[in-house]
Amino acid sequence: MKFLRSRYFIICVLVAIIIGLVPAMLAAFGGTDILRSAVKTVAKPFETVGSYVADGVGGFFSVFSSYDELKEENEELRARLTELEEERRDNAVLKNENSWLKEYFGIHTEHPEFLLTDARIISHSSGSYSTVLTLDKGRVHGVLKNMPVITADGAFGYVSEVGLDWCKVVSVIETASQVGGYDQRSGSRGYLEGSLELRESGLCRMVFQAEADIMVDDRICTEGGEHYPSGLYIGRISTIEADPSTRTLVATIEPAVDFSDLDSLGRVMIISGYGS
Amino acid sequence: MRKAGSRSSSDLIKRILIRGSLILVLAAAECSFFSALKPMGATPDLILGLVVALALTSTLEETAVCAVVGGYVIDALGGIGLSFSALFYLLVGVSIGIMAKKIMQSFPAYAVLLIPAFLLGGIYTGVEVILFYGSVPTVSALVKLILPQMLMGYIFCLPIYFIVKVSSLPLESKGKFTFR
Repeated sequence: MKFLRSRYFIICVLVAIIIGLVPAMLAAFGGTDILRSAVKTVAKPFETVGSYVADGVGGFFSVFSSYDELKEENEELRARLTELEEERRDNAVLKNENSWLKEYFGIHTEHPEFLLTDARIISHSSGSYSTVLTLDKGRVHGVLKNMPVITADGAFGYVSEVGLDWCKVVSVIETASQVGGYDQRSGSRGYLEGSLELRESGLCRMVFQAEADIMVDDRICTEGGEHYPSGLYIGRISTIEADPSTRTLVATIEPAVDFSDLDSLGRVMIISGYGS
Repeated sequence: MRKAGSRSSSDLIKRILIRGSLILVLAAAECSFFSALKPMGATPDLILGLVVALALTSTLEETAVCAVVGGYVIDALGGIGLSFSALFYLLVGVSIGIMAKKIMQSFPAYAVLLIPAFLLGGIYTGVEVILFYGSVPTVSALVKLILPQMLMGYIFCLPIYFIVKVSSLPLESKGKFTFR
């Protein structure tokens, strides 16, 4: 308490009052406080550094302060993205539908006598290379055993088994399948059969008589019979080999339907009858 | 005699340089760094923290001089018009210094003594606001200005005790220094 009565303290108080009053008085009379200016000049480098650091720190923390704003914007964008994704999905469905209708229309124009039932592939046979498929149409839809199944590209296979609302289809490249066919250019006839080795590559083979007139790239169509109507395009000859033991020509056929990519196929058509 | 005199004058110069630099750096930090960042919308009063720390760790005379200089520097850097920061810091510094002589001079004491210091600081800010703006809504000024300033000031002033202690190292003999 002695200190409060000391000359030292009283001087300090007086100085404090004066340095509070003087700048204000100088400012009021338009003067400049030289001492204040000097202090400000000395402190300027420190203030500059402080402001740089504040900018850096402020920039860093602004990420957190604008977090809620960014979160809200992110949610809005996410919702918009979901909306666009749905739109895109709808468009893809419409596009598929459109191309499907085009194919359907193409086949119908080419073969007006065919009564077509469209079917969706709902499952594949188990195994790494699937050519026995299950379709979503069955007895209730008028599907019968041995009905041919086609795509816009050509013959696909035939119905091997029919359930109430499903059916199984054996493709032309299956070993169980044996189909009569002919060379569209020369008319040479033969029979198409599945081959275990070729099946892996999505191919099948066709056996001709030794004197048959066949060439690579000739188009092969169905001859007509138990499973297929006449004139359905199957594929083209890719290689020809002679088999001396049986005196036959064995041609490798590359089917028009890409059996190596059945997932992209999606839909097929069953020829459920023949009109006039 | 001559030797002792030269030693005391060099000690005084050292003291002025150290305390002066500390005041300058803290005032600059308050007026640039913290006034730009404004944590919780308030600028912490670092000079008040420095005055309280000096009141605990130094003599009343030194605290009084540093309080006046600190007030002057802070007004020079960030004040406008009539301002009595120097007088305010002087009164707070001396009051805390007198109180500190009766309690343990340590960091917990500093943390405790900062509370009345910032309460006084809040009152001073309130008076300044009233002088500056004329009349202000009390609740609004309290919630938006005075309380955040007191709180932020308290938080950011806590390390100043250690800064003062470290900066005082060259002024004390090795055996004497302690982080009480």
